[in-house]
Amino acid sequence: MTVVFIRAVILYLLLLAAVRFMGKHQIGELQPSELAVTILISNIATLPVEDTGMPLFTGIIPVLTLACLDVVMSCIGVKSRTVRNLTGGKPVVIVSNGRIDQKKMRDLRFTVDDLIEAMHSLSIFDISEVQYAVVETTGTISIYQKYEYRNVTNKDMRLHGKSIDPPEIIIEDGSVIEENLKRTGIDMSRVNDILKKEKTIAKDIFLMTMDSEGTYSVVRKERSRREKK
Amino acid sequence: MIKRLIAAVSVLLGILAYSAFAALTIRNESRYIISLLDEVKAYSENDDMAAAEEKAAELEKEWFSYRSRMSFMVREEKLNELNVTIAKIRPYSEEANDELEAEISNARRQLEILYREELPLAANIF
Repeated sequence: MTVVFIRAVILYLLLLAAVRFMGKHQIGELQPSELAVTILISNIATLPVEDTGMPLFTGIIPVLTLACLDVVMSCIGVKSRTVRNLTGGKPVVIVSNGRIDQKKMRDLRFTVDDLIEAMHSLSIFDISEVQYAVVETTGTISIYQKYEYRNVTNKDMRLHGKSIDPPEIIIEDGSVIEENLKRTGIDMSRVNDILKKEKTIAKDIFLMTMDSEGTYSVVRKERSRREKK
Repeated sequence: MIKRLIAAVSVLLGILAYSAFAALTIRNESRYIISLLDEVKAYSENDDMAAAEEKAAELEKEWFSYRSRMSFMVREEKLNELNVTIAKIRPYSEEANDELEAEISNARRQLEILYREELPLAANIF
């Protein structure tokens, strides 16, 4: 068992180093450490399932070890930027002041196509519209447009309104979600009043959402609609 | 975050403790079986076949109990291999077969390998 434990630790560190070495392009949406753990766990977990001759603990121990190591590493990473940079890498700016840093792109092995693809995903079709672009630690490219191409905001238009949280689900499939009710700061009597006004009961509601201002929408269950007919 | 960190560290410490416990258990239990094997061998060498046969019966009984305990920690193939070797010892001692000592040595070697493989040595890890 000690051997399995030590092997799991070694493989974790090795895979982490390998993923970091492969670079951001290989990562996709996951952090390098998360990818390392995902690859290892998905493989290890299948072994004791397929091989009944292998004690279950031989599968459980490395999976637990990897998951715990990942938690420990991420907790250390929260406190230490050095550890965070080592395990997750740093974001790299590839466009600054509208100028593409070709050397950085070469270092990251990113092609123009990758940049163009990221622009297209944000409905930007001209490189001259890009002010700043950064390759995140997950390998995705974030783009900031030049001032003249940015969308007009309410602030630009000097429109005044109140910022409130989006509506929460209050009733889902006939059940009241107390936790969301508390979060919106609305009491149950207000919900009952609405249900009374809508001439229905909670059990017959498929979905009811409401925000802290009391703006709500109600979707009845199809069954109750048929019953009404 | 701290709760999760404490849980993760606790699980890691638990795994380390269990690993150490498993390595010690395998070593101690295997050494006990080896001591029984040595006793069978000693009786056989002294031509006390009745005592050897009695010890071989005890060895077989202990082996079944050892096998079920070890199945939580050791791969089944290794235990099956050992089972084949140990299963021969009792009949061979009853027949006073010449192969008895060879089989005892074979079982002894397999048990030694079994518990040495559990030790966190460089040779086992890499």
